[in-house]
Amino acid sequence: MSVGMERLDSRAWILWAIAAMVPVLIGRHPLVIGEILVIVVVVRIAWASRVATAGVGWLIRLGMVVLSISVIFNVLTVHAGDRVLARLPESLPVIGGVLTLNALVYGLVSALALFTLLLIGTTTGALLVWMDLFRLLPRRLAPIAVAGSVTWAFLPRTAAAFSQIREAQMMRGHRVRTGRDVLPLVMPLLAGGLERSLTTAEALEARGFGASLTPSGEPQPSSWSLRLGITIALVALLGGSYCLLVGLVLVGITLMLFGGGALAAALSPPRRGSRIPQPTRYHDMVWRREDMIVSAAAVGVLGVTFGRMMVSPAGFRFDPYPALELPGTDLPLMIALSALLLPAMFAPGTDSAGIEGRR
Amino acid sequence: MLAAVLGQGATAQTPEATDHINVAGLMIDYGDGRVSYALVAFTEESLSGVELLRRSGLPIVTVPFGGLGEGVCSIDAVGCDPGACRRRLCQSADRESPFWQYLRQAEGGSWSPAVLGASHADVDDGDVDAWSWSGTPPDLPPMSVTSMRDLLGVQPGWASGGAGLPDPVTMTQGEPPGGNSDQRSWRDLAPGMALIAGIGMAGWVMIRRTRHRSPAGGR
Repeated sequence: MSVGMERLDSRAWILWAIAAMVPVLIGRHPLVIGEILVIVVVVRIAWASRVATAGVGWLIRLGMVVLSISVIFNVLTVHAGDRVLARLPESLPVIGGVLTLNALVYGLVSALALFTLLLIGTTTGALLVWMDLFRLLPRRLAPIAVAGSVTWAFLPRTAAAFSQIREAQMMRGHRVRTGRDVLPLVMPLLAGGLERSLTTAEALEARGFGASLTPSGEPQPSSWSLRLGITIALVALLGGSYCLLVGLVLVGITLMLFGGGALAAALSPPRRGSRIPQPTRYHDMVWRREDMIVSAAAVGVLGVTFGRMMVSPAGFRFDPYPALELPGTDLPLMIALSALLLPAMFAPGTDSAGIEGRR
Repeated sequence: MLAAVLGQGATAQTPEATDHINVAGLMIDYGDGRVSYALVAFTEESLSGVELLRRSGLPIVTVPFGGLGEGVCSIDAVGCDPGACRRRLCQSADRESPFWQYLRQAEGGSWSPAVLGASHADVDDGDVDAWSWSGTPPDLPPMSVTSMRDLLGVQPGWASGGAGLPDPVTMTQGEPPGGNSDQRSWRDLAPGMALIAGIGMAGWVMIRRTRHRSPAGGR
């Protein structure tokens, strides 16, 4: 098996991200969250040469903000638990009552879960090749996919731009002392953001994204029926989701199937021979053995996760109320989750000086 | 579900105290074969349902719902965490999944859910309230303060006999299936923590190998 490849397939990364996110979303078990966090950090560092970000400083700062908000909100609004730290007057609305260590611990675990999800999302977003994903989607969904990719890339790109602007201003002797000093940082960031938006829009336009599926001058007999079909499908999917949430399983599944079918029909590829512009393809997607291994591991982890959730949901749960007690450990589940470390094995190499590997 | 959303919490009680000591009863059905009974003495004219529950001394977890008051998440460790409680008062997508139902007793001993919530309910002298961890209408026996006093072995003059307000009297009948859960220690967490440390070490080795690997992929 060749070790150290240029990149993994985007489909494998998506499966890996889903498998990593599901255990964190299901429960608040600190050991499970801690394990996933360690794995994601390792994978992120191993693939650092492909994660094009302006360092991890902004991510850590964002994590600290999430941590602060989560802990403060939980401590001030949940007045339960056996480890009382302090007491606020009961007359204070919402925040009045006992402040407990139980609430603080739960806030910390929740913040850790949020940060882990954020790390999984940004890591996967940086490692995905969005063009590959476009090709997997129905062509009618191309505008949505483009909008999604631009949105996804917004935060890291803005953070990188802000870092560059700050460094440039520091070289000119600028120091932030008061609120007014932030203006020389914000204005170039705003102008740069607009410029980047225009450049992105021009690049997309030049590549034919957003173009009408029907060549101009031709009648569009199916546009209203297409819109109606999509509307009915989305309403059916929404109604089905609601029915499933309130426990009307049979009606919910029926509506979901109907909505899914209608959506598939509405978004089905156009007839052969139609003069719809074809996007240019410069390379074919290659499914390698490493992609297969990572995907199989992710699917296996998902299977074990759902299986353990049905058999032994306590492995995902941590409830510090009303008594703060240590959680149990579901060792088989944790061993299965360790398979998510596999992408780190296939990370691209860098030379000893840290110079980026193959591009 | 609305029955478990309580009103103004402790502020619903009448503030002025009286010399007379009142007594109210509480019956808690955990849905696992256990039932707790409690007799609570108070000097106010009336209490809110959640205040009566709080004064019973049983460990409870509640979350505030603004103007609607508090929602009861768990009683004596039976229930759900505040996150699930905030979302749907412990209920899942299954409409018959359990939550803490607050019930009041009508004339004749029949129980019915208190639709305005326990905080809007005025518990007076001689009333008996019930809480049931169930997703369906519970089947509870009629209960009066007198019969509860007999059940708990409390003398009729118990509330007014002492100098101050007497402590609540509680009793739990029945055993949960599987018995009591044993306390966990740090030693139980050791395998999981060792596994995380092992993953960290393995990751460190992988990263080092990546760093030393030539860009061409060889070694």
